[in-house]
Amino acid sequence: MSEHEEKVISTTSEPIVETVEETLPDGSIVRKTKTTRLVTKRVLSTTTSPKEILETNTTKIVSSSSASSTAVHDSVSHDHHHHNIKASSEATEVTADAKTEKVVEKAEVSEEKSESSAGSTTTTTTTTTTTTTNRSIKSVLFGEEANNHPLYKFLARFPLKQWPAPHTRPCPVKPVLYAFVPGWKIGKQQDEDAKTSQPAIGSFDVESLKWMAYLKFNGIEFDIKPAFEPNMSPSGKLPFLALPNGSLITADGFESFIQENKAEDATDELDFDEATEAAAFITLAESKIHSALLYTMWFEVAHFQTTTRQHYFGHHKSLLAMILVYLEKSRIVNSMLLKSPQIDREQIFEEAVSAIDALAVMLGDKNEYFFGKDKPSSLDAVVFAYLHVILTIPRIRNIEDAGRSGELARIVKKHENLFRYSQNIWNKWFSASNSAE
Amino acid sequence: MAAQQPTQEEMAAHRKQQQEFEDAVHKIQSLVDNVRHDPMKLRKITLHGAVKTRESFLHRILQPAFQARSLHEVIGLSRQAVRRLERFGILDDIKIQLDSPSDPWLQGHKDLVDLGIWIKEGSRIQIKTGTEAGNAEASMYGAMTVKNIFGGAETLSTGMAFGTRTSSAFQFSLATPLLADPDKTLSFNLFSQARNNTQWSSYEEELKGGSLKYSTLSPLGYHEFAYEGHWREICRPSEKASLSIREQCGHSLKSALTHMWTHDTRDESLMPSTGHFVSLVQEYAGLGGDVEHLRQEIEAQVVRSNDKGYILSATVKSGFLHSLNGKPSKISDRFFLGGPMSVRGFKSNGLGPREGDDSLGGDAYVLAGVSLLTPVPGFAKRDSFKGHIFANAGSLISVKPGQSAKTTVDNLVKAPSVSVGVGMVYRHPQVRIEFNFGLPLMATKTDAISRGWQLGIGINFL
Repeated sequence: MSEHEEKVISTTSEPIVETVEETLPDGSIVRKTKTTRLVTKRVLSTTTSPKEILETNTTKIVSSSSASSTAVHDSVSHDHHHHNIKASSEATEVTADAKTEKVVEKAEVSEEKSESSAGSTTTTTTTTTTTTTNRSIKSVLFGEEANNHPLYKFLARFPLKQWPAPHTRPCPVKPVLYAFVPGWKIGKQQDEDAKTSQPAIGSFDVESLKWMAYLKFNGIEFDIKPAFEPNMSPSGKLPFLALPNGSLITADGFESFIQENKAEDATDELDFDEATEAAAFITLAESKIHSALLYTMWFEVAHFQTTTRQHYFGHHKSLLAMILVYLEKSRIVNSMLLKSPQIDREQIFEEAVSAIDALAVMLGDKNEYFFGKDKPSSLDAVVFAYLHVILTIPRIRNIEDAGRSGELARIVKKHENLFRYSQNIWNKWFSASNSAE
Repeated sequence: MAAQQPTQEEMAAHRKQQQEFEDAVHKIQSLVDNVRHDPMKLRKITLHGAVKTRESFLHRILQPAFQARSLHEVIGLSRQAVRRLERFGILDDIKIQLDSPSDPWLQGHKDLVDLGIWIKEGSRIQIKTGTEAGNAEASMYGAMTVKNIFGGAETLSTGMAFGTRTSSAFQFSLATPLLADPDKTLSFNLFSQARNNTQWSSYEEELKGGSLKYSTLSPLGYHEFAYEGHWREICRPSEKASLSIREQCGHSLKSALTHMWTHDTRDESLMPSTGHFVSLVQEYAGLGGDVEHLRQEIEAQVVRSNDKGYILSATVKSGFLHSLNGKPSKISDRFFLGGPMSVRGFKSNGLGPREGDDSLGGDAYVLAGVSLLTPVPGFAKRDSFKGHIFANAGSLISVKPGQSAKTTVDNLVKAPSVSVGVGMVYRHPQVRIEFNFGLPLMATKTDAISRGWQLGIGINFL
């Protein structure tokens, strides 16, 4: 049922999705308002009572897509390519409209609605109020053939004079990665980076660095734009990738984007066993090492005050930074408390030690990459991101701190192979290292 | 107009009555005139009916009356004091009475007089709920106002609103007259609101802030000085938001001093028929906070009408946002132009720099409009219903930090968006409703144009 509705939705715009979700759960009388915003900027609002919707939901209407008059309805048939209509109405204005605007899907919807009320045996008393602005009124005035009406043709000639667009955004040639990079205080350096084709710049943020590494491993060229506001991403999380064609890639679509766009023979395919193992180690890193890193960054006072705050919120003035840091910190506390009932430093670091030990053993002494491959895999991207971020956290000399803040880095450095591994990848892939790290 | 013609007798009776009244007034007038310069002093003021109003507050208002040295002055000053008292809007009714002192010891003193004032305090608490439509926005609100809360004509108001453009809003304000002067007001405001700009710019904005405002009337007009602290967050870009909008996302803190000056001689603001209006808004942001800029806005309007019911009004507006820290401006501070109440014939905020379907706003604009309101045949008697012929022009551009003033001006005049049209205007007691058929004559390639009919409901029209 819902998939039919989604079909309708995909051709129109999202507000309909919301109303559909609202109506499904219960049969009690709830007033609902549907607002459709099309490209044509028309507002269609429907007020229906869900009880009636439930009745009509069972009615599937088959209609001719000509949108003009004839529509056959069948209350039990399950023609999947036709729409399942939940509300019926008189929508003459919309119909006229849709025709003039050539929104065929829309026309079908409204047409079917009126047909269902005409033919269906279920008594539906739903109403559709159509608030029309500008163009729709025009089409009401000039009839259905508004497009060919001489007056409409006359109108289409306006504006008589067109100026060039006041704002144009140069179309990027490469995908642009919006990521946390150390750049908040270096406006100039930012410009320089934009010029270099493949910026030799890392990140203090594991997720951002992971994406960079993975993109590089797969031979995908990209530019980096410093970003500090997770809000800007469609997923609410940084980083994300903006493609030249305008689409945005977030974490969900990242892997498939890589698979579609990677350079040939950029990475060795992992066989099934290796892939499983890689997945297990990625999970290990993302849970155990992640907690220890978060602890180091956000709860070791020395780091938190000098580094983390500056990295994530240094671009704000002090007062605002204070509020935002506080909010972010409490968010992180909450996220950590979701995993375990209390934030226990001993336990977190114990687990991190064993995870890092496991990684060291897994890597072995001689290997350049995991699984003894010649080319890096997704596991390498993740492990490198963690190791590099841990190792590049500035060392703080703080007597009171008694060296606690550097503990995670020391744990990593105990394993010479991990240290070397991280450095090798940095030198090889992020090479021309004039980096700010 | 009266339904029936008054009869001759009624007319005569009425005239007689009027004559008597005028005679009486004249008599008193001459009586007062004769003694107006006689020395006289106000001995005491008795105030009846002040329950909640503070004594010190009333004292400050009535005090000047004691400076009277003649009957004439006593009358004048006490009237002045009463008028001042009325203007706070906290009293329902005021009566005054001058009387010779009742104290037997003072019977002989002809130069002393007592003033009695009877006041009736108005109700203090007002609660309002309702729905509102204005400036292309429909909303639902609930508000509570407590007048005279501390007995000194202080007003406390809180309100909440949910609407189409302002998704939710909360506000609190406490205003108090300074030195018991109704023309000088100091107010403290707190607000929090979420504005939904997805319709033209694909983002929402969360605003929280406070301000301390001082407003005063001067011979030159109305002044308002304020300090404002605003915490803005551009958030929830919609799925199709352009990258330029996404890049604007995030928090910013504005800490600014503002000054507003308006000089208004129009007969009314919704559909004025005569007078002129000038307003100037200046803002300096940069007392801490993330944004540093100077923001200027100026508006001038001249309205003239003739006795046949034609009203001609001309308005010019201009604004400029100058970044002081060399960074590009934030979208929250920028200007937006276009729509049924701005440049007609274009969609709401559809002018200027745009990307995809999103308006990005601009740093400088000029706006000009001429409107001729005509009497409508058949509705000639109805002043609230008029025909409308207009021509609007506007230009909105972005200014790069460090760009020369000449380039800015060149860009502003280079590519104006111009529209003309005809329509109807209806002046509802609260809002002005326009229904116009507009055609854009000139437009930039990216302008969101709206040929044909356009409905505008609002308060401030170009």
